[in-house]
This record gives sequence, structure tokens and C-alpha cells, in this order.
Amino acid sequence: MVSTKELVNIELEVKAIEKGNLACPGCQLNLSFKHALSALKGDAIVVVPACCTSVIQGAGQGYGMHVPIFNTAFASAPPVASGIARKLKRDGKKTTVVVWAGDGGTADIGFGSMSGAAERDENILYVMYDNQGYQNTGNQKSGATPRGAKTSTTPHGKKSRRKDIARMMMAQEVSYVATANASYPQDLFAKIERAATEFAGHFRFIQIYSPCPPGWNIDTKDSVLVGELANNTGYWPLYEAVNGKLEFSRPSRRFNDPAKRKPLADYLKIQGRFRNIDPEIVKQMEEDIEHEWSILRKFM
Amino acid sequence: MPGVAGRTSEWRTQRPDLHTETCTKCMKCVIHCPDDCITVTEDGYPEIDQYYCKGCMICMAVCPHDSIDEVITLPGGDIDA
Repeated sequence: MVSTKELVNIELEVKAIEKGNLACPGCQLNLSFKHALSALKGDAIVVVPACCTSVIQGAGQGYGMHVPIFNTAFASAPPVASGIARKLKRDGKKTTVVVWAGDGGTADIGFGSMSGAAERDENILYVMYDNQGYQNTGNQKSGATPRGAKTSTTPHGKKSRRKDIARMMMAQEVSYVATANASYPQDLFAKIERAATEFAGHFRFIQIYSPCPPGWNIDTKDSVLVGELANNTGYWPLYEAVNGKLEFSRPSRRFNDPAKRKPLADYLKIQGRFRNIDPEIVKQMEEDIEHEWSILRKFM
Repeated sequence: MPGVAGRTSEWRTQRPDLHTETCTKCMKCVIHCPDDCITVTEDGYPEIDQYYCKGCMICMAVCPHDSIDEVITLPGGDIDA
């Protein structure tokens, strides 16, 4: 794992994002992008379907991110990336092709084309940043919205469970699947670096938990705290699965024991989207956490 | 190209104020700044770009030594209240 000092030096050198871009204050997606592109040393072509990133990357004649970006329509990001990757292979170049898509573009609209790219084992690093809703268009419910969250289309809280895309990708026998969290930058950095070097030539999938202050109704300064609580309550387990063999990452490992987890109420009370939530749903959410870990343990 | 959205500090209603006396150069604020507004000076201390800082105050929340203070600003973000 990279040290703090090295991380700072690489980030100041690569400068993946620019100051004064169009991201909302406290945006963790912007931060994840900075860490991810620093891990790739800026040597990447990023394909972005319609999502928050397509706003942040530039407006008019300016640009907000310091890498080549290809903006495309919702469901066509994996096919576009496949084409770019095949051309780079013909030219003998080692540049990583990254699809940087939101949870709506991955879990709902782009799922078919992503699954197809995974089946063909294209040379793509697929990064899904999970802000748990269509935050760009005004916080509508997506497939990755968790149970209980209020959105503009589920004003009384979502009743059903979220789709677990990382596990779906494991079911498709993708060679490298990982979950990451924007509040643990060194862990995120190590996973992107590992995916880009060790598993080059294959389809790789990384899902990043990135809190969204306006959509989740949290104070901008709490967005790092929310990520830490998601890890410490066991709500967002961090793991890497290499060819179906799963290993929990260091920040998450001790929460395999339910007694060491913090109470879920700590995580829920600082987020406005879970305000006045039905106690019955809270109970179901607590059961969901243990259910999730019990499934993941079977792959160890 | 910095500043595609103009002077983004005009969005804010508060700004961070760094006190280097208690700063241990742990770099947490530099790593967690979502807008890349905190750079490192030659003597190793963080430096906040007040022209583009959006005032999210994550740096204050993650600072383990309370070296960053919150200052309320007038609308426009450039004059302290």
C-alpha cells in the first residue's frame, strides 16, 4: 500500500482534477476520481456515460479534469471502451481504458452492455462510483438505492433491497472484482493500481462508495465521516475477489465479527434521507447487513 | 485549466482558516480535499487556495489536531462577516 507522503506527491504531480470545477461542495465522486487517476499516473482514457462526471469534466470550452475523456450516451460506454481498447492493443499501447460510470448507468440502464463486455473479457477497467441514486438529475431512485432511503421518486423510503452489482460481477466470473470507499483513499489507490497492472488485459470491476451531500441530505463536512461509518457499521464491506476467491480488505476485516460493528443507528441518524424511517425497515436493514456478510464469507 | 466554473469561492458561506502552529503536516486535509484546492508549500505545510475553495469544510472535519478553523463569510465568499 502506498504511504501518505507518496500519495500526496503523486496527486500533486498528476493533478487529475482541476480547481474551480462544477462539482458540488464536498463531492466524494470528484475525490475518488482524483485518487483513481493518480493511481493510474494519469495514463488513461476515460469513457464517461451520462452521469455527474459528464458535468464535472467540463463546461463550454473549459475542462475540469486533466485526462482524455470520451463522453457518450448512457448504455454505450462499455462498447465504446471496447473499441478504444482494441485499437490501443493493435497499436501496442499500454494505456488503461477506464469506464467511469454512475450507479444508474451501471445498475439500471447500462447493465446489459456492461455484462456483455464482461462476457467478452474486454480489456476495460470498469469503475462504478456508487452515490446511490440519479443525483445528477435530482435524486431519483436507482437500482443501487439502499432500502429505506428517501428519494424524489420514493418519498416514503424505498421498500426493497439494493442490487449488489459487485456480487453480480463475481457471478459472471470477472477476474478482478473489488469494492472501495472514498473515505479510505490508500485502499482505493491500491485497488485501482492492482487492477491496472496485475490484471491488465482482462475485464475488471471496482465499485466505489461515494457519499453525495445534496442527494443524501448530509452536511458537506460529514461526507468523509459517513463513509467511515458505512465501513465501521459493516454496511459497506470492503473486499477484493480474484477469480472468485474473496478476501476482505484491511479497513473492513475486523467487522466480519458482528460484535465489533458499530450500531447502524449511528450511520442512519446523520443522513437526512433516512430521517423518520419506519423501525420495521431499520430492522430489515440490520438483517441485510448480516445477510450480505454471510454470503461474502462463502467465497473466502 | 482551473476555474471552468468561474470563481467557485462565491458559492460558499464559510471558509477554512489554517493555523500552522499546531499543524503536524499529516496531509489528511490535502488527501481529502475534493477540489484539489489544498497544495503543499516549500516548507511542507498545507496551503489553501481561497479563490477556488467551495467551503465544504471537510478539511476541518478530518483534521486530527483542530488546526483548521471555520470563518463565516458574507455572501460572495470573499469577505469575512
